[in-house]
Amino acid sequence: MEKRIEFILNGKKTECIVPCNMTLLDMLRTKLRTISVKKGCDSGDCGSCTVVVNSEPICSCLMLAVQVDGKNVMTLEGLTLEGKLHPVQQAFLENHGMQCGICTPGFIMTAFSLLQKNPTPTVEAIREALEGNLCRCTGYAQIVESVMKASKLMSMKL
Amino acid sequence: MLTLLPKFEYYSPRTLEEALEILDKVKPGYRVLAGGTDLLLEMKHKIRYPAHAIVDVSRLNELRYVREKDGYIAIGSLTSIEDLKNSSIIRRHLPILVEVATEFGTWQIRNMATIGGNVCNGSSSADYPLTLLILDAELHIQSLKGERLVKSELFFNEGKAAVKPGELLTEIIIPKPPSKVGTSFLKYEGRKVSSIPILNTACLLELEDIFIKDVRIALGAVEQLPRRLKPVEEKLKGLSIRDKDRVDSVLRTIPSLINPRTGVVASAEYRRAMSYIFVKRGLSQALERCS
Repeated sequence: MEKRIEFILNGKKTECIVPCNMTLLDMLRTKLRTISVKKGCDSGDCGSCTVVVNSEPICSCLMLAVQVDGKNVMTLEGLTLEGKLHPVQQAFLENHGMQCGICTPGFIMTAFSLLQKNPTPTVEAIREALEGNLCRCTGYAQIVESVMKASKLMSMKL
Repeated sequence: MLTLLPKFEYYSPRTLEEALEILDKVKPGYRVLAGGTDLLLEMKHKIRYPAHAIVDVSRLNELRYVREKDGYIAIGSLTSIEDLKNSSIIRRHLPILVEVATEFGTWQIRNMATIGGNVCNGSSSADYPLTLLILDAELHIQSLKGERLVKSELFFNEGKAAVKPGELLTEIIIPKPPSKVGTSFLKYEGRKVSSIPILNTACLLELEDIFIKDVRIALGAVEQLPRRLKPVEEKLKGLSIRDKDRVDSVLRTIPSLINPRTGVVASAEYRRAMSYIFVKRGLSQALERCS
């Protein structure tokens, strides 16, 4: 069974014909080539497939593609405007918030959502928000620092 | 590599009325998709997965709410765990539900998972059934043919079978606890985030002066289904909280009253021993919160 769906992907109206049993993660990667979204555990534990649907970060591996019909989906690709890095990306780059990079798009999307809701989070709030994203390289310290830095960059921008 | 999910017919109703009509027509053996965090995992791992059809109710925004009524709180079954966590009504009247939300999965999972899904999945270790048991909640179930209200104890006694084919859990009704009640929720697990608990327990305590006026204890993850420890509750009622020896001798009977299972995370024997310890801890935490 296939279904034609229409939704907003990174600000652009997008149409796609998808099998009903395809996950959002597989549609984003294979049908729409938004390959910043990573397939890690494929079971909702690692957070590397995190995307923002209607302003909330979710695991795209646990959502069917057909469920985003009519919704607003944002991936890392949507953060970069005209080749210019988003402040969250810039902060991760400057603070070495990554090593191998597999988990990074997920971390950045979660951090981005947090900063949309709470522009000046405490370290505690950052740690809590990032609980669902696993990184096996950095030990998390630089990631938390990156989010603190992003918060500063974004407030300066305003 | 593509994730291969089994094939299914997909229905995506936009209103409750439409959902009930579909549920009435579709052949039994379908599954309801609410938050999807358990269902998609089951589909991927092909555990107990005979479903030929998925009825996706995640768009029924009319079932997403927390409302304060006269004497009770009404929660729409599709309210996400994150929405419960942030609800000022829940914070004020039912702080134990916020406590559970804080321990529940991760931010991403809390945004997806719904209280109705957690309740209907019939998992022994699910956190919300336990707390609904000690809050004497009632569950509102609707179908095209009618509606019924089921007490949480009866509901959780039936496990997965509580919601019959054609039916949908639409609302959870929780009587407001008296203001001087203390509640607690404890989960004992090997690892902090997203794991199977060794056991979980929820307690409610109401005092009159120094005497136990009301006490409710629920234990989960230990047996096939979560349940209230009514015989223990009855023996505790009327005791003085200062009479620690008598209270303790009642609590020491708990291991002999339960029939734990052995699983990957703990043996039956260990669960039996820990049940006494955790109920005791839960009750003393509830006591601290009585004011």
